Amino acid sequence: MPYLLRRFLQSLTLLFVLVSFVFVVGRIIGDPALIMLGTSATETALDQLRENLGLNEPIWRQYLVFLGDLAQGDFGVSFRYGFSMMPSDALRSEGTPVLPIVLERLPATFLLAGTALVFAFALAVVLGCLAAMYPRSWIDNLVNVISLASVSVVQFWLGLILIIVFSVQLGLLPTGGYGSWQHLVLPALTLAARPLGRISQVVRSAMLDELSRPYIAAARAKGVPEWRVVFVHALKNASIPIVTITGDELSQLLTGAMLVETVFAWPGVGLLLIDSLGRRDLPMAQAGICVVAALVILVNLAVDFAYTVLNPRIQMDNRGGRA
Amino acid sequence: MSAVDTNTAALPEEEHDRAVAITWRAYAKALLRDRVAFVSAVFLLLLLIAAAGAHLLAPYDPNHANLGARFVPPLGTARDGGFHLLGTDELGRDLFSRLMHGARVSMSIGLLGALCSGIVGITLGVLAGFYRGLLEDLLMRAVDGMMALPSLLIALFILFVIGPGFANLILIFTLLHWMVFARMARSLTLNHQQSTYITAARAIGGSDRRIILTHLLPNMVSPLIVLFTLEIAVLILSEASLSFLGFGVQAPQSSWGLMIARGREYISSAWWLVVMPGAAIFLTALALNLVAAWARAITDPVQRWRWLTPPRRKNQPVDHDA
Repeated sequence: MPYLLRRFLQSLTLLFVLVSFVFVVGRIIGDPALIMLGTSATETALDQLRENLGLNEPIWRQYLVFLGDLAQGDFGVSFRYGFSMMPSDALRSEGTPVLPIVLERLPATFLLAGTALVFAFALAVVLGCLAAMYPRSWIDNLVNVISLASVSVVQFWLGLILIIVFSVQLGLLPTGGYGSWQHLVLPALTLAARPLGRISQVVRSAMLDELSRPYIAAARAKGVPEWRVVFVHALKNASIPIVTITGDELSQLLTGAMLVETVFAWPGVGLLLIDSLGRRDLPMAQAGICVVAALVILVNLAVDFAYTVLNPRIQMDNRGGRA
Repeated sequence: MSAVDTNTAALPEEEHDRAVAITWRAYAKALLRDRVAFVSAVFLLLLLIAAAGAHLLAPYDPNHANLGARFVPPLGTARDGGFHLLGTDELGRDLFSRLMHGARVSMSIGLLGALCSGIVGITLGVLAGFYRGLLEDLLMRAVDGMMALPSLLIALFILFVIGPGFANLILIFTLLHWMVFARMARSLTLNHQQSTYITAARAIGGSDRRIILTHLLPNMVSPLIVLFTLEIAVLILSEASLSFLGFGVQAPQSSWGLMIARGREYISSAWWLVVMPGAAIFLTALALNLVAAWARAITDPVQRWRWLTPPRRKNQPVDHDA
């Protein structure tokens, strides 16, 4: 089987496992009626909800129905989102389909994660290259410090520090919300910190490797300008580890956005997910988790596709895919 | 390890002797020489003492509300004359004492979580590497699959269903972090299985159990300890995130992450309630990372002779970084 097809099937399997996991945790380990109504609900209300959701059916049947609904893009309806009344009253109404609400929130998350990634990637490549060009210089030390700090810091705390400095003390930027570019600055910076540290470290070591190779000496001997040697010749060949780490970081960003969105009240999928968990809105939470996880799986797949473009030597036969 | 021998054999004879005679004293001396790692190790030691003896060492009762001393800034003195190193919170509780007690929760979650996931992961990884076959295939597939999933998201969902709390956090961390250990334990086992000493142990009739416990595991200790140290840092950060979102440690217990979440409400008036617990997490994770980097350098056969021999020659070889 061709490599890419096999990777595609692997991703599908993973998605299937994930969806089944959500089913098992939500339906078998937990009791959906109890999760949604809380422990204070009456037995009648619980029974009514179980009846409505089809929870009295045999479990294998529920599983098949669940899978069938998902295949049609039906993640269920929410009785909490947009309802201000008591949950038991909300049950009498139709409920709101959850998937459109989750998808509606995606652009905000993409904007945040995309800005953070572009910023982190551009800065990391420049810093990493400079660090590799001047080993043991101050810029090399800076890259080391950034990458060490970025794996030691809690993201939401960094966001709060930025709020204290730029919003509370200096009054330059809003503490949270959505709408203008000013709203984007602090959350994007917060989210960019971790990928900046990780990517710059990888760029540095990959470039150190490449710059010591004979073809670089050949390019220099031919009189190619140094910036061209570094940013064109070497960087192109160092791109595979850089793409790997960037892909990893992108999937990290999608989940990291959850915390940053909570801190900055940024109306993305992450904030929706945290809110629905707080509201005990099980269908909405399930839809959010499935969508984000599917995106993560998709990103990983895209990275593998990018490999084969960047390096044609990675072909059909390497077993098992990426480590 | 054969790798040690080949590497030290390549050195001048005098150095070879020194590198081979590695004692605890040599390690201690090397630690003293690396100032950054030394400071980190001392910090971690003090932190452990503070966490373990919080009930004896803390200057105040962490839960004692004193409304006359609300929002005292760091290094401030309350009206009743009490000095507060890191200030007080909205109920007049001493922040420094609360941090010490919070350290107990955060550190024990980090240590226990890493220990449990380590035991599960190492056991599975060693068995997979030792017996190969179907077990290995299945295990490595599970590892690859789980590594590709967003763990924070899954942790949140499980905690949402089974409820938050200390024990559930440990359970979740074990469930979501064993793969890291399993992967490394397997690859170490595969490496060592080729070595002559394993063949020799087998030739004299050692049982599988004996080979694994007395020959394989002791030789895998150092890289696993490095990983263990790094995992503690990762888990402390994860715990902070989960507690911040309300799905981790619950009041009246308090961890550093939960303290940040509480302090957030007073962010415009009492910055120290947010800054201090976060700084505690940052410094702890930083110290763990630095100590791990040192431990990796010193247990790496290629690098360690440089650390374990006195720096008296002028033309030391260039440091190539780990």
